[in-house]
Amino acid sequence: MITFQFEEELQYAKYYADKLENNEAKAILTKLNVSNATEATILAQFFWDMVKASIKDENSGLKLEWDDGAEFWNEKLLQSFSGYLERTGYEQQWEDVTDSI
Amino acid sequence: MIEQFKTINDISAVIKEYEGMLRLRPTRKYSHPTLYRNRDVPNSEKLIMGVRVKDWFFSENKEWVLPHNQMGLSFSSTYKNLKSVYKLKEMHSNGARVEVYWTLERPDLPSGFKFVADQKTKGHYFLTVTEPMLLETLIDKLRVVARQMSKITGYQP
Repeated sequence: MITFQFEEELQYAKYYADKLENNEAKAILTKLNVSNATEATILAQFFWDMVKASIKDENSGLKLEWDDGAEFWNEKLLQSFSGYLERTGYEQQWEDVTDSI
Repeated sequence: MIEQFKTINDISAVIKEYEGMLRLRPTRKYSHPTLYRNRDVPNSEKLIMGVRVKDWFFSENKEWVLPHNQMGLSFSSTYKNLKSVYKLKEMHSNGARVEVYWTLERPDLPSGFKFVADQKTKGHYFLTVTEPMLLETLIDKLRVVARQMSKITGYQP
């Protein structure tokens, strides 16, 4: 199960899954696990897409409901997602996607 | 070996060799390795004298930082973790250069500080407090930790 340090991490991630219209990521964030390597890659790719979208939002002055800023939440989610993928044997998927960014 | 460390461009092999003992923090150029500047945090009200409030377990009046074994300042201890955190920091830096500061697990860490492994993420550590600490004391001790850290120049992930 994907676990978080703060429950707001999940709210923040779901906000961006909605905004990016990423239904596969939304499904993963609802069941809080990945079932195979394809889903692991989807979660890793979603993370970096979320980072790019949140930086764009912050640069355009968009105020989100989470006070601590995109960098803080992205840092937390990086550890939550990468830690989960490593624990469940999908470390390579995380690394391949990260190296491609 | 450690002196050579500062001058090697591609240091991934060295980081891998010392994995487990190293504590690394990617830091924006001209920023501080253990404290934040206002410009590093979009909502600077979430920063008290360079300390990011949500990193630590604060007392209600925000005067004390209380022990918590999964809250504190974030450090990478493996090359894999560092590579991801570095990339994220770089993306958030709008073109500003990102440098890597490092220290080792060392016996002369300021009293009341301890590195604790993140229970959910291999290769990630928190610098935590082991006793209630006044915010001013925390800041003084974070400055000591920063003085114990060295900078890797020319890091290429």
